Amino acid sequence: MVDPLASFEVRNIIPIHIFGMDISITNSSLYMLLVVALICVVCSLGTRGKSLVPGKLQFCLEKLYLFITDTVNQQIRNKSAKMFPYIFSLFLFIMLGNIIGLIPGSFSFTSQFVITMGMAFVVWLSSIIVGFVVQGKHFFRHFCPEGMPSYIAPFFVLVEIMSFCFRPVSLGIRLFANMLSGHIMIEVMAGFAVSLAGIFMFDPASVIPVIANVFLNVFKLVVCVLQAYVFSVLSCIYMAESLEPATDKSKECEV
Amino acid sequence: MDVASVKLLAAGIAVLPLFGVGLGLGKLFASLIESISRNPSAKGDLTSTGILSFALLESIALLAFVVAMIILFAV
Repeated sequence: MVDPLASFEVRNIIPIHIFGMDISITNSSLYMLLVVALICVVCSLGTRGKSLVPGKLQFCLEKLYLFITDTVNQQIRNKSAKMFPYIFSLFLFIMLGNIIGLIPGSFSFTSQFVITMGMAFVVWLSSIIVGFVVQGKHFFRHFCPEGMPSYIAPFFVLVEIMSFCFRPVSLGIRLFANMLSGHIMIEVMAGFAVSLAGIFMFDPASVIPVIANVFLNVFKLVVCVLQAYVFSVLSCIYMAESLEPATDKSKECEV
Repeated sequence: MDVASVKLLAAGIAVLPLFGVGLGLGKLFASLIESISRNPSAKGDLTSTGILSFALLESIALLAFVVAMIILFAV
């Protein structure tokens, strides 16, 4: 049986050491650069013509753009235009990273704990910074909404602060664990097929795991897009909290 | 019991939260379908909220999965 965790190994491709820091190009960072290059090429190709009647690529990009615009506008009422480029690039990066990992033999960098946690902490820290810049000390209002009875306030504030601090962890682990579990599932299923075909000369039963793998791949494709969407929606919600004052009651009811 | 078998047992126990997650997912989608059939015009909003809560719920199952994987392979 092949070790299902073998494909998550980070290998060093071009060793680079500068000032005692290891900034070597690994297969993980190589795939990240590949995804960024892919995004740049596709976006610049799709928007080059800018015709009134869109072509195929331009149509896809417009749909994607409108989809993310709707999502951002739903969560962030005002100032959504400022947040849009960040959320859009985050969504494209995660989605393409997830999908590229589905190609057999490739490497999915979103199944690396470091990378998803890094992205989650960037979202979290920037939401804190934006919150303090926009709202000043009123940002603390989120931890203790108005009209709270005084006897329950200390407990509530403690719980709110704890949930606030666990946000990046849950954000990062969600993406990482989704990708990891999906890949392990596919690889275990492929391992069944290989071991069934290996024991006998050709066992017709080994077709079953292969067919199951096809459906698993389709399911994984859905999960890839869904997780990218969830990541960007959650970062939208966190950003919305830091962009808008806590006194807005209608906002609290929704989230 | 030796360490290897205790590891397997612990990994099995670590994915017990899947019970609650299964219950929660069933409840979530049951009420989602019910509310969409009651008010089909609200489908868009309901679906996005449903997907969001699905992801929040699923993260618990994935946490359990990660703990099981850590017990099996990392410890």
